[in-house]
Amino acid sequence: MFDEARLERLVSAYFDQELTVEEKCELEAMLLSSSKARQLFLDRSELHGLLREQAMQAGGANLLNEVAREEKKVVPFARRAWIAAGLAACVAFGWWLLPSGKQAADGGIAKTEESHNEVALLDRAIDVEWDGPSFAPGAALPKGLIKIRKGTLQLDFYSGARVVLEGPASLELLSPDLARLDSGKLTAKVPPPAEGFTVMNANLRVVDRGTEFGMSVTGANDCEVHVFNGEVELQGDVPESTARELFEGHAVAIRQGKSEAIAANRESFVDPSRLLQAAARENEAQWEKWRTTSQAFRATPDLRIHFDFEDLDPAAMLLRNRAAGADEDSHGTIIGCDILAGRWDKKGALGFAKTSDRVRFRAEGSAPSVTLMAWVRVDSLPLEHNALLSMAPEKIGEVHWKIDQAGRLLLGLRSSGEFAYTSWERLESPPVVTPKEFGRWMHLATVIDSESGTMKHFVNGSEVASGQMKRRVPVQLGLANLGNFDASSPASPTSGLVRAFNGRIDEFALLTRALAAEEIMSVLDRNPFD
Amino acid sequence: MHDDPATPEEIHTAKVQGLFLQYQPAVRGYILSMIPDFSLADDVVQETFLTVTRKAATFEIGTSFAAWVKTIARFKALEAIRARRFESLSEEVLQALGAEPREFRADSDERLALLRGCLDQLAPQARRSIDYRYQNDHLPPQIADLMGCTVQSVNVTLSRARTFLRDCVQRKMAANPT
Repeated sequence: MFDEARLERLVSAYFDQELTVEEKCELEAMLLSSSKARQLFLDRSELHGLLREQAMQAGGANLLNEVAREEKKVVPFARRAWIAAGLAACVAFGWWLLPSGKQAADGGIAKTEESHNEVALLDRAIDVEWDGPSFAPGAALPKGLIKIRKGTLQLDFYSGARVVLEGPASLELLSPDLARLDSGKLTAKVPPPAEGFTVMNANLRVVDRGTEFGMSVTGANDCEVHVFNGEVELQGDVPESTARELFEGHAVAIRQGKSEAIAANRESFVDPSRLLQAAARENEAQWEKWRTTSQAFRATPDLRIHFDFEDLDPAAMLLRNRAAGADEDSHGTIIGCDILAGRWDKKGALGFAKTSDRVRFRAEGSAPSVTLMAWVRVDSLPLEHNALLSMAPEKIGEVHWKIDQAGRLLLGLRSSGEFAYTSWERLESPPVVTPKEFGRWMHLATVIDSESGTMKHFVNGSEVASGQMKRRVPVQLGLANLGNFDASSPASPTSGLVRAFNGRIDEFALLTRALAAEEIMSVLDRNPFD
Repeated sequence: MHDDPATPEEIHTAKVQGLFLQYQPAVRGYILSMIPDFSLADDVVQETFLTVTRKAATFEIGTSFAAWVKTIARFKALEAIRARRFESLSEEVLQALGAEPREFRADSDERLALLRGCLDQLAPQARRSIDYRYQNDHLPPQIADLMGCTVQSVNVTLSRARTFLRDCVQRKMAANPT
């Protein structure tokens, strides 16, 4: 017999090329003397190879699905570029695993490194034409340049300062309490916790002392600062005669190295209440537009289920199937869930938070091809699998549509009755719902096309994954759960699995037809999200 | 770019290459067991692929691809060890390992997919160590430098992470899948 723990250590050291001459002899003696030791060695080699293979494929997304088609691309022999190494401190042993391998609340898993660079939230964008990288409202803005050709942005800095930027403008975000205005107009409202918030231009620094001020930069040497409320301090390279402190109602204009005291003019900057009204109007107009197109969508051929989550009645538990010709039996039943706002203020949505929350419905029959589409707002991914839809439990053709903890969109289509990994046709996207997407609306679509034998995932209209079906099983319609998963019976091996979704859904459609990419895109065009 | 229809030989070769890709992780693991250095082993994996392509005509679809490719991989690895004097286990040990009855696994796709999920469950430092080791091809002393800790603790981390990953993949294979 041999010392298994010792063998494990030697095998590990062999793989990591750290064996001393004596240890190598020891390992060789063990391997020669026992078939069990050799089996263990070969078993560990398998994982070692798998890990290396995985690492070489990482980055080349979807290699697996393309294996058969493009062998040239697949032969992955090029050495991957070395990833820039970061410095990290090791703490005591014991941190290598999450407690019991489960989803710890701290995540431990969630990749949030980029959040160190984020300094502000984009709260609103009205009528904006971006010049360079663009952002959607709700986005966390990283340090860097924000440029717009026209329109108005409202930015909430993490320090608490609220900045309204009027285009054309170029603003560099430097930290949660510092920005540089190269050109354009801004107003900053600075509540006490954000005192000290500073806006620079090429020559001067405007340091807020608890107030509201406006700043307009028209060139390297031309700048105006207006104080609407409270006090600001001017620092840096300003003309001699300029007052260093500026109070409410006062303003200074600096042009060609000369400064002039003028009266503060609120009118020359955008009015926050008008901004709010404009935003509300735009919000409502988008909702109205969605309503019109959504009604037209009801008549789409092969549309079997269409939940629009409008006119939700807290007392009724009823979610109407709006698909043209839908019968009463196909309406959904709301269990738990909170009625919340959807993509627009007036749009209805259901919030899924508790493990009980779900919408149950039933669709009849089976179909060779199916398209699933939903507008969802993922708030977090606390579970290994977070169900969007599960349908026809344990029948051949059962569908699981879900997002895993790393944010990959997953499809499982049962093609045999056994409880085994190989019973499923599956399609996995790269991570598409990262913490950056949490709290933001996105359109998810998955197409199962048994005629061509393909499965595809789409996010906001763009294809993110596709794969071939090994077995062309028709999709079984049947008892379905939106936002949750149910076993077929308490006796089932899957009974007790928790896969509740955490977030909101404000539109869902199931079609018994494979929509083409263009059709999915056109659904998006008709239902723009802000 | 031309659209000449593929000849039967080309179709056969493409099929054999497809099979190789299916077994590539197993081939890689097997070669790494004889040649632990990643970049040397990568070269041998590539040579094996080229040989498989060249000899595709001699492989009969329906017979065991696993056994066929294992023979080629083994031959290529031994050839490389002898010709280039790689540091490896003794000839005697390599022979004993080669004689060990053990088939290449055909389920690499599934295992790779499960492995990705398991990697996501590693705590950040463990994940970083594994990435440094497998993606950046660093050895424990370099990893220790990068992470500001001792080689000993890197060794412990790597071997515990491997044990966790192996168990995790096994558990997921065994458990109800989706």
